[in-house]
Amino acid sequence: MSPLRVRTVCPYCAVGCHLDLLVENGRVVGMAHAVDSPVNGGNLCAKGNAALDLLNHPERLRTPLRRTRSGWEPLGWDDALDLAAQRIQDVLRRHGPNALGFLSSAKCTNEENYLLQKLARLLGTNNVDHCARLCHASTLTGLAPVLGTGAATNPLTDLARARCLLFVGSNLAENHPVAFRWVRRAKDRGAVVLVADPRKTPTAWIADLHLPVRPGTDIALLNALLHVIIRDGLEDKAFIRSRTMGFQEAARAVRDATPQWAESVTGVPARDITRAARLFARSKPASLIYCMGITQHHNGTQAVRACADLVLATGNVGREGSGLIPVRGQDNVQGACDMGALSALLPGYGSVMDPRSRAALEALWGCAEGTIPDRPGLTVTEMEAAAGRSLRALVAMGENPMVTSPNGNRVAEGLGRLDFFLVMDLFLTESARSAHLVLPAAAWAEKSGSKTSADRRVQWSPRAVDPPGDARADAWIITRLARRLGLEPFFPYKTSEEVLREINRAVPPYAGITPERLQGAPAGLHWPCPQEGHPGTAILFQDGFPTPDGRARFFPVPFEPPPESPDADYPLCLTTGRVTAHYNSGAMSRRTPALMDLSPELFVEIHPDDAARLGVRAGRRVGVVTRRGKMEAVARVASTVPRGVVFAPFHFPGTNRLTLDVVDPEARIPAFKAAACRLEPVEEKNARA
Amino acid sequence: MDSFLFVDFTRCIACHACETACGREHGGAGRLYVMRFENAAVPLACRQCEAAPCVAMCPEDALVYDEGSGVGLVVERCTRCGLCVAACPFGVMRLGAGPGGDPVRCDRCRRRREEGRLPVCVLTCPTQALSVQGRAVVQDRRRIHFTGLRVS
Repeated sequence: MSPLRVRTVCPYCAVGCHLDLLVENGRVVGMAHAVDSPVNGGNLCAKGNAALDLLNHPERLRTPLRRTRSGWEPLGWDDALDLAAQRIQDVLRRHGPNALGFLSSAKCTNEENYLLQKLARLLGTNNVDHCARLCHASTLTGLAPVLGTGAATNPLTDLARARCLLFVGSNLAENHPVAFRWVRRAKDRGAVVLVADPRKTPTAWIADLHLPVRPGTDIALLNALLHVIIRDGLEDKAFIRSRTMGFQEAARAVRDATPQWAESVTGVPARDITRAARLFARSKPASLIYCMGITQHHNGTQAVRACADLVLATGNVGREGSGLIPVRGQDNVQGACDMGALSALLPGYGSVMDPRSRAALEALWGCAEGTIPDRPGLTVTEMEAAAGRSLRALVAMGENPMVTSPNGNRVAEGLGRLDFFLVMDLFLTESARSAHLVLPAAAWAEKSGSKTSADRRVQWSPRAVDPPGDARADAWIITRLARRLGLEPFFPYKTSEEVLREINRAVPPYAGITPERLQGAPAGLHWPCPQEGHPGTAILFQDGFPTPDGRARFFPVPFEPPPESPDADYPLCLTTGRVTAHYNSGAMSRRTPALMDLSPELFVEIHPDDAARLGVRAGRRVGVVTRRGKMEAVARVASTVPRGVVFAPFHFPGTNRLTLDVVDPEARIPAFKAAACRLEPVEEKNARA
Repeated sequence: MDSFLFVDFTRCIACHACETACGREHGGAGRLYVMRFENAAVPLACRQCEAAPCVAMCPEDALVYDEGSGVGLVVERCTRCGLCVAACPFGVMRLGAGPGGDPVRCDRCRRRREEGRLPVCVLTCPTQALSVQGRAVVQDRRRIHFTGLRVS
């Protein structure tokens, strides 16, 4: 008998690739490339190819674990859930609902995120947030008043149809390799590729023009690009007139942002800025792709708006091959946001401060009026700061803040002060080690549910096999916990399908994305899909913008230097990012042998001139110090990183002990991307002769 | 031999997908190596040399060259002496791990080819940096690429 072939959605990034599992006797015996997939056509990246290692991994958690003085003690589900419910109720009784915090997860399904925020809000707190706070919170706050919706305007497949692709702070080739197939196709058809990034990344390898911008100065570059476009009369006047507001103010704001000025700020030669601006404005349709290099700054919201201004000024919205593409990082970070796993936003992006949005949700849930609090809750970083103070208990579903949050030493202290810390995860992560109770969760192929990729493509990923040991889907865990907390009537669900049917009613853009349709849609459905029978919306804003007057708004964006600039004590700039073999906190990829072979350890990239000046030798360990902490890493000496800049990937514990926890005032996203640092020699303990 | 694993390194983005897929397909031991440099990367695998140094060096005639399928191994004759490893000019021949590990190198996924499927590295590559091509196509592509670069 040949094995059963089950099509799932890859558990890694937000491209949403299909990955076919071969199942025999209830076990995954192999995988096959989904050659007929409309998303990835059989292509997979290194992580996708190695994803099977996560199923039946020897380190998978197989039973609930309680921390005791003598170590981890296994316990049954009834005991574990009773314990969790009792500790949560203790905190509720003593300190009230706002002493509870919930970290939801972009690695879980839409249904699970919906359930966790529902649990938090029914308990009376908006303290529910997830790691979008650390990656694309500024996309939501930046784009909501500009375009009306904070999501990618066009499908990733559209990149192949662009005549010009401008990447700003996105290393798509390394981090979303399968999406790069469309970039490569555009280039084959003669498209111009422009890449603004401090480093010469693999994305920049195929660039017609690489703009090596100094970390934290992207707004100066973007303003200068707009300056040149307006100066040369290359703006799309008809589009600006008929579909936007506020162009004059934005134009005034960049009047002095000349290429010469920008050169002095960004380090990018003025003539390259002029050339890039002309290429972008003249090659239509054009697409602007941005990522953490834009969002993870103290002014991330403003940087996102500067990107939007450029796209609006050139009329690159609402048509095939154009668009503004914030590339999401995790398989369901778009969905987790859509589901309202955010401290200030309800499912479907209604504000918690809007009485009508709250009332609608309360009516749907059948709970008492006024159950959902009318004030925003704490964000990820605020929960960490309040941990052990006003926040007494924290539930973390598939999040690893010890590695992913900035100023990691402070995070560890906070988590250590909690009365009760509950972690649901696949593995005993760095964060789980400091938990009181750890619950074993199911991996992607061990549960059913929907996920939403970077381009708003909602896809169903079915359960192919059972989880190992006693592990359970997060949805199962949340539902059982909620019932023990006296919320039984609100959590009647037996299947993910039932939860999705409630989401159809709670989240208007998902109204037509029923389980039945989704399960029969080989390419998924793009939201907004407002009713049954609607084909979904691949390209946003073709007719109007979901703003009060149907027009998009320009925002004048002032340039401000990063909060921490190199000085005499910390003369270098530390910037962080990803490597292709690893994924976020590394909880999955660092446990995958094939990926560890590719990238076994934490490293820092240093320019050869800096290395020579500081006596740093390639392949040797070096200390990296900021005002917040210190780490050791192996030095890689490479001229792909500019002079004065040190690059470190954040997949290993260490990097985020150094990063800056200053946050953007609107998005509350930390400024991961630019911190002042210095390098120190490390005494080699076991120096080889 | 008329078909090659053609590597267009101008398309390679160093994503290592081919390497990981190759390892999975062949039980953990990959036969393809992505060499990453500052401005480019090159996936490297057995070139199926016609005058193969590994074949010439093998004292037991365990490695043989076949006009149709390239370099092949007669497992029974192999003593795992490692001379082929030393001889390979590309460094892509190696002895398998553990006792009894035979010399391994890319066979362009012979088993998959026999089933009419593409080599797994070709299938997984997002940018079509890898492809199986006839000799004439390879030469054509090279000429077009070379002149295209100059003319544009």
